[in-house]
Amino acid sequence: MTRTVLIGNSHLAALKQALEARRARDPETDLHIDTFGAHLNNFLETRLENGTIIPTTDRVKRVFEFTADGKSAIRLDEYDQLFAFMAVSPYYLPGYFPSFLVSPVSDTLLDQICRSWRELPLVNMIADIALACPDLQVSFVGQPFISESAPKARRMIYQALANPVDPTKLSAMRLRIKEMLQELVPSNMSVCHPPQACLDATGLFTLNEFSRGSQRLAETEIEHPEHDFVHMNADYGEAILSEIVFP
Amino acid sequence: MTDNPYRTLPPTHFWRNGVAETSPLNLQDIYQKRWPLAAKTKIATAGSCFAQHISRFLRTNGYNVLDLETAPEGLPAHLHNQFGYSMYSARYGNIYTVRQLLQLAQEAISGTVREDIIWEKSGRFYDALRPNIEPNGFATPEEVIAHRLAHIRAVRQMFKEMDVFVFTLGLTEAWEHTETGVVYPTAPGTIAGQFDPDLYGFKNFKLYEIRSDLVQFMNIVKKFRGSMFRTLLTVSPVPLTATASGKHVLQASTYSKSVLRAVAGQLYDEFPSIDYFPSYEIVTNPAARGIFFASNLRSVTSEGVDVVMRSFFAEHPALTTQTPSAKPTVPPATGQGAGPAPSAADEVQCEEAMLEAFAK
Repeated sequence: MTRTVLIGNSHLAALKQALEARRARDPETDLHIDTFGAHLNNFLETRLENGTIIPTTDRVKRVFEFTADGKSAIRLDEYDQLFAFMAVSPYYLPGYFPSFLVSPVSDTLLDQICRSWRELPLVNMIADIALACPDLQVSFVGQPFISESAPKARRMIYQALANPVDPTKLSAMRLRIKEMLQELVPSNMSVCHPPQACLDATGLFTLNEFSRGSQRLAETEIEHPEHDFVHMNADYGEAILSEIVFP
Repeated sequence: MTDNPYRTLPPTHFWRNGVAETSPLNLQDIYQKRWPLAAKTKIATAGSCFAQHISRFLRTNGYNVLDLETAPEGLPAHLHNQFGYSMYSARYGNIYTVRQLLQLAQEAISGTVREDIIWEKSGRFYDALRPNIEPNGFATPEEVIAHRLAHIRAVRQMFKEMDVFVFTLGLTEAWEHTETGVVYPTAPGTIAGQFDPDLYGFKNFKLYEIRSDLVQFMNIVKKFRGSMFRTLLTVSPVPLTATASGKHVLQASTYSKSVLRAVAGQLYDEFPSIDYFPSYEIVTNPAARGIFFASNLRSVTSEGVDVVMRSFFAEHPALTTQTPSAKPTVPPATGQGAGPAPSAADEVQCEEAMLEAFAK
């Protein structure tokens, strides 16, 4: 049975909810899956020592214990695969476009943004895990694309209506990003695109239905406010589980 | 009745009091604003390399500086300038001459892009009117055009939205396409393209031409947006890197700056909508004895920029609690290959300075 660990920040909550739902439906089946969370960028408050990720602050230790049923460190040799749910996805194409116009992006700029993504502290940390544990299959999933209902998304969609973006150009961008990522990440690390079924027709944003009812990664489970367009719900988490974690 | 018209003049109207015996770090009354800049005033910025300092200080001190082509979120701040972002109110790069400015305005208002503005270098293609905004050019000529179309849309929007246009006059010298009259920010062959004397010619704009271009610029933008706007002019204190006028560079630079200063002064007198800020005078003040210039006697030091902006903010106070610092904030270096943080003198993107590489 494949042993899996999911690590992440608040975006891990959708996965946790989905896992809980699966366990509730089928309590007899051991999914062999652990989850370790830390808010925001706090996963940076850990160190990797002898194949174990150890919190260096109490706050991370506390959240680890809450999210991992009491475990306070991640022994990577206990797992076959690791999925990371934090930091922006390099496949989030609005990150490549200027804010006010959906205008073309040069290949040089695209390549630079990919390289800059690789240098993000959390991405660097995940890549270091892959490098330190060559037998571990590491998959970067990152945070979801923002909801199509987010004001920023609405603005971009409106701009795209006035100045349509050629879908073949978006496809070409995704292909180039994929090529760049293969050069940039360790050989046992992959970067996953969110499930297409969760995305709007443009593939740029997450469907609104997946951002309603999302819950916090907190000691007491609380829903995100209505205007939260970045966190996704259990249905999104289930889609990730089905398509990416347990394909 | 007084016996002499100078007797009642304030001290700063006399060279001894105003210059020789006054600290160059603290010139009193060197600038008196013509009209205020409010927090809501939408400011567009453009001009030669020195204008980048002004743009940055305005932003840092809380003024509403427009940016119609903001950098992609995924591009770290320390790389913005390299790709022509976060320098001015749109991604036009440095605009050295008024003819270049007029050209841009005509293009933006027309909504159409010339197709003869593509330069090639090593299999890559560059926008000849802003050759430095993509460090490696574009993959195809079609991309140059597509990007330029998006750019002039942003410039159109900028002209519509702005309340005040801050423009730094940089040069009188330029290179133009002889047949079409298109003027470039750099000589062909400096960044890209090839110099062909049959196609390109040297142009040293005269005072009446610059004045006429600036008035025409104001008129066409005013007509386009349907309302007047204000203009704040300043002359860049940065001397020419090189001259193609056939004269000694000191003579050529003095000519350029004199002509630009004269145009600014004339237009200030004629148009209440124009204000003039004396960056040039502050930096080149003889009492400063050149201390505001870096060792190359060309780039303005951080301290010089600071003194300039303090004079500016004496009339247009900072809108945030942050006061102009001697050195602009430099983001922390990330990744490999990051060297020491550059000084303010180095931080501007300056195609004109590249001409230094051609000096023997």
